[in-house]
Amino acid sequence: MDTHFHALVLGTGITESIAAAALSKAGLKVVHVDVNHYYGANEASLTSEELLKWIETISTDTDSLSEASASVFGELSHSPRSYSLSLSPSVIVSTGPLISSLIGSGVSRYGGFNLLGNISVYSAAGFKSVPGSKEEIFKSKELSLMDKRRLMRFLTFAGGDFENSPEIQGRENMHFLRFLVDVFSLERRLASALAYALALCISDTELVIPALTRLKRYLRAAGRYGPSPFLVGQYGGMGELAQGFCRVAAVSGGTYILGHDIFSIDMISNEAKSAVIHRLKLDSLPRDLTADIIISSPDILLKYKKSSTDKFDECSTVGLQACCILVVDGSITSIQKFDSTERTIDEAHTENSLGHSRSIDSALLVFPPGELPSGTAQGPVHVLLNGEGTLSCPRGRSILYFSTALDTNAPYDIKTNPEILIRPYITATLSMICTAEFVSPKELFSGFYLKSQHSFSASFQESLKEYGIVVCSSPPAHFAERGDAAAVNAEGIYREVLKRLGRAGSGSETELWPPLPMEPDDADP
Amino acid sequence: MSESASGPSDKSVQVKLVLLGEAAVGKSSVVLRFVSNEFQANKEPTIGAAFLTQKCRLEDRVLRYEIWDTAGQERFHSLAPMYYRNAQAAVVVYDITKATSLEKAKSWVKELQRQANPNIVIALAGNKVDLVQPSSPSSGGAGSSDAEDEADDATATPGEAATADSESLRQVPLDEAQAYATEAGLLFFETSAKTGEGIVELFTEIAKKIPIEHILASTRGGGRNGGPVGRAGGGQQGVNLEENAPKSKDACNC
Repeated sequence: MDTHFHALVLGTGITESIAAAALSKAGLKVVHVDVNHYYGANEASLTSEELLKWIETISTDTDSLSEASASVFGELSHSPRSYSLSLSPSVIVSTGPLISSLIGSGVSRYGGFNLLGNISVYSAAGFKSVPGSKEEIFKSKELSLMDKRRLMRFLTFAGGDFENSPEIQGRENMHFLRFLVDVFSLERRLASALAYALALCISDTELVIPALTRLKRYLRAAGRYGPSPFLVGQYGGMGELAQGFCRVAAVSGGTYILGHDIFSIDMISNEAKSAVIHRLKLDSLPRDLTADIIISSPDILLKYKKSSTDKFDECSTVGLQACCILVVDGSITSIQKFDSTERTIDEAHTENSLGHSRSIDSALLVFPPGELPSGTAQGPVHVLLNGEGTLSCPRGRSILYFSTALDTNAPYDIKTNPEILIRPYITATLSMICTAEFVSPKELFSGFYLKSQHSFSASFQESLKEYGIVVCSSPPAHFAERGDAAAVNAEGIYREVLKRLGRAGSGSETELWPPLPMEPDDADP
Repeated sequence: MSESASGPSDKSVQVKLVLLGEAAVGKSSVVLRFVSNEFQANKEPTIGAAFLTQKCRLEDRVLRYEIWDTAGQERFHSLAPMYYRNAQAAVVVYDITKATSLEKAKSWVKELQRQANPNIVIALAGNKVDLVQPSSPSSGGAGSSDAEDEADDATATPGEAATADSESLRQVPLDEAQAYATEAGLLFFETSAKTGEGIVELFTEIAKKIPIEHILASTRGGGRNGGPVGRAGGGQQGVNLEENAPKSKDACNC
C-alpha cells in the first residue's frame, strides 16, 4: 500500500464523510481513519450491543473532554443487530444542502427515507396534531376562525421576504415567542406550538431572525416529497448516511481504516517536497501514514495533538444537550390518548385500506417549555419517534429519542444525571401514546447521556490551516439543522483543501459533486 | 416482454449480491467478466462504480443482479453494515494458487453468517483456475485451446495435459475446497475471470437458489427506492429523493 496521501481524514462523522467523498471524487488520495469499529463517530447508528458498549465507555472515560454520563435500565438482548440506534437522531429538510449532496453524490441510491409523519404538541389533554400547512389550518376543527386568520397571516409573512418588512424593523433582538404574541397577536399557546413545533426552536430565548429564517426554509420545503418538509433516514439516519458517503469515497479510491487506535499524530519535514507533512502512527499497522493535510474535528485534535501547541486551550463547549434513547415494546399506532368512549380517528391514527391500525413510522412530539407540570427543562423537549417502518428496530418495537438543550451552566446534578431532567417527559409520553393493542407501550431500555460540541475560535482555526490542519466543526445540536450544516461545512473543507493543494479553480474540480454516471436502466430486456 | 409473470410486477426481480474475499483474488475481475464479458490483465484494485448490474435469465424469470464490490473497504476490515444489509446473495472469492486466501474466505463466510440476512445464498468461487491449466498463456501447446471442459479432469489427473509447472501453482486442492463448501452449505465453483470458465454457471446457480417467490412477496406494495427489498419491510412507503417533481400536497387544492 502506498502510504502517502493528499488528505488524512480523522473520524467518520457525517461532515468528515461528506468531505472525504467529495475529495476522493475530485481525484485526491484520501485515507479515512476512525478509532471506532463502527462508522459515524458521534453521529453513528449503533446496534443495541454497540450502544451499551458506547454508553459504558463514555460513562467511565476519565479522559473524556465532554461531560458525559449515562445510565441503562433493562436490556435489548432480543436480536441486537436489528437495531440501528442513532447517537444523533435527526430529521432532514427536504430541500437544502444535505439533500443536494445526497443526490449529487449518489448516496441517495444506497439509503432509504421516510417522510416524517405527524408533528404533535403536548397539552394536559394529550398530544395535539399541529397543522403544518395552510390547508391543514383551514381544515382544523380545533382553531377558532380568528386564530385561523391570524395564523394564516403569519405564515404568509414567514414564507415571504420578511427580512425588510416593517414587522421586523426594530425588533431584531426580540425573542421569537414574544414577537408572535406582540406583533401577530397570536394566542400564547398557539404561538408556543408555532415556535417549538413548526419553527422547531430548541431554546426559549431564540431571537426573531434565526427562527423566522428556519421556518421559511421549512415552509418552502414542504410539498417536495409530501406534506411534511422533513424526511427521516432509515436504519438510524445520519450514521447510515455517513456509511454511504464513506462508500462513495472508497469507490473513488479512498482508503478506509477503522478500529485501530491512534498512537500519535505529528508533523515531520519532507525533504523531497521541502514541506511539512503529517505523520500518523496507528496501532497494529506496521507502516506510518503520511499526508499533506489533516481534516479533523476539534475532539480528536484535542485528544491527540494537545501537546503540540498550547493554543488548544482556545476551545469552548457549545450546544450542551441532555438526551435519552428509549426503546419500547409495541408498535405505536396512536399518539393521541386512547379513550374508549369518545375515540376519534384522525390523521394521527393512520389506518390502511383494510381498516387495521397501522404502526406510525415516524413522528415528532413536542413539549413546549412549562407545559408539563412535573417537567423542569428550561427549553422545549423534542421527542423523535422511529417505528419499525424506519427499519431501525425490529417489528413490534419503537424507538423514542428525547432531547433538550441545556445551558452550559446547568446544575451539576443534571449534568451528571440527565435522567432526572428527562424522566418526567418519558412518563408523560408513555401514558399518552398507545400501541396496536391499545395499551401504553412498555419501556424495554433507556440510555441517558449528555451531548456537547467543541468549537475552536475562528482565529485559531485560521492559524491551524497554516499547518495544514483543516478543522471540521461538530454539527450543531439542532436535530433538523445538523445535516444541512454538515453538508455546508464539508463543502467549505473541500474547497479549502483544494486551495491548499493548489488545485482550486481547475475546471471540473470546482463543482462539489461531478455529474453521476447514468443510473443503470430499469427497462425490461 | 414475453415472460408470463404471475404477480403484478412484470419487472425483473432485483437481487443484491455482495462480493467478498482477500485482496487480489480477482473479485472485481469475476464481476467484470460476468457483467461485460471482459477481462483486464493488471486491473487496478478498485472498480469505480457504486454497483454494477446484470440480468440473469432463468426459465421463467429474469433476475437483475445489483452487484456490490467491496471498493477496498475489506482490507482493514472496514466494511460497513450497509454493505451486508439486504444482500440476498454473496460470492466469496479465493485464489486457488494461494492457500491463505481460502482461510480468508472461510472467515468471510463466518462474517456473512454473523452480519447478513440469515437466508443469504453464499457461493464460494476458487478463481484463477486458468493458472493451473495447460492453456496458460506461456505454454502454447497443441490442444490447449479448448481446455475449459477439461478443468476437473486436469485437477484429478495432472498427468499428460497439464505441465508440471502450471499444476504445481495450485495450492488449494479442488476436493478440499469442495468438502469445505459442502460442509458449510455453500455453492461451489472453480472459476477463471480470465477465460470466463465457470463464471456464468456461478451466477446462474445462485439465481436458481434465490427464493424469488419470497422476495416478490416481501417487495409487493413497496416502492423501488433504496434498492432491494427492505428487511421484513411490509408496506411502508419510502421516499425516492431523486424524484424531483413535487407530490401534490394531499387532498384539498384550495
